[in-house]
Amino acid sequence: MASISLQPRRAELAAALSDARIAPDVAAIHRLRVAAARCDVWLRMAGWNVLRSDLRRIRRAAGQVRELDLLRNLELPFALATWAESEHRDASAALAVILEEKRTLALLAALGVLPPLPRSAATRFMERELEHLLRLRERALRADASAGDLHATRRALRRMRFAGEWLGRKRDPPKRLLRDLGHLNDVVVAIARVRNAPDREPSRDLLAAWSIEAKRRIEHAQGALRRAKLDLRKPRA
Amino acid sequence: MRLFVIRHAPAVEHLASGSDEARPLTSEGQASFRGVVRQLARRSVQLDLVVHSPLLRAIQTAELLQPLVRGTTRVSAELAKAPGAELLAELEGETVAVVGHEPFVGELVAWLVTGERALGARFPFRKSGVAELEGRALPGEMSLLSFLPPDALNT
Repeated sequence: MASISLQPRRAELAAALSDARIAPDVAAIHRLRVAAARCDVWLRMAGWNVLRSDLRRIRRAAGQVRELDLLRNLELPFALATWAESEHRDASAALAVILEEKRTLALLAALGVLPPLPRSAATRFMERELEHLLRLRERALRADASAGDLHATRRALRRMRFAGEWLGRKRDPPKRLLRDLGHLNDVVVAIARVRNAPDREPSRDLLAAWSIEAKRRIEHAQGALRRAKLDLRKPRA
Repeated sequence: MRLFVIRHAPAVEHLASGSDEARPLTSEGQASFRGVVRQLARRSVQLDLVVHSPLLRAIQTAELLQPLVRGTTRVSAELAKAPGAELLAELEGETVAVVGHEPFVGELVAWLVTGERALGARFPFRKSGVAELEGRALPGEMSLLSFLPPDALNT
């Protein structure tokens, strides 16, 4: 296979967009985010800058819904839970508007005419991403590393994973590492959201507890990252 | 607003598949449009927004404009048909470029400069041609600053 066509994943994106229009539940939003992320990695591999901002718009709107899904599934004080529900409704409505926009249909049409990318371009992307990932890991393992440093590593791991899929070299990053990084991001997102709530006073104790939990999860994720083998270019033996 | 209306660079004439939407730029077309971009860069053009049609030749032309983009890009089906109010509503920013097709880019310039879309034939675009307009992006409210074929820009 000398080239890699976007079209199978574009079809997945079209189906995910359709599903999210019909029933925007947690699973549909997840499928949409994954399908959009896969297409975005393909665009990066192929060196396209255009269309990524159109895709990013969908990804961001779906990401907002996902973050608020997380928040409203936590045990929250009544006022905060009510606020989270309201924010979720707003985010879902904003996503619904984007899904119905002509711009989204135009994006699908544009993705449908992109020529396959040479396999060599995908391989070079993978090499660059690995170097980037290793630099991010170094930063994320420092004693003063932030949750943001670890999140950047998680994002790079996901890009490597999707790039590996495109190359047919499916080798997932260590599940435990992704899980630990995901758990850290969940609590960081919850903290950021609640800090933006209009009345934070009732949540002061909750925020303090979550901040302690975030520090614990940073250390936990660093441990998993230190142990993980990150070269995903070749299939696991 | 400073608006650059651009016709896509030269593309292959036919594909075996028969698809018009998927016709790519020729390598000569890409090279010549890079020259246009260099010339615009010499004039310190920086774009807040590039709006382009979903056809491959316009997507590729918009991609070649990337060195000038300080903002974002947006795909719009409004550029693959006669210009209308929906297209004008998408034009936001101080310096904007649109990349589209004939006869629609000629009609767009005519509409913005004279208020009459039907005068589009008086603004014939060559491939890679660039028109520079200034004013409010409303019918009849823009001034035509320059209207250059690619060889005038590609120096």
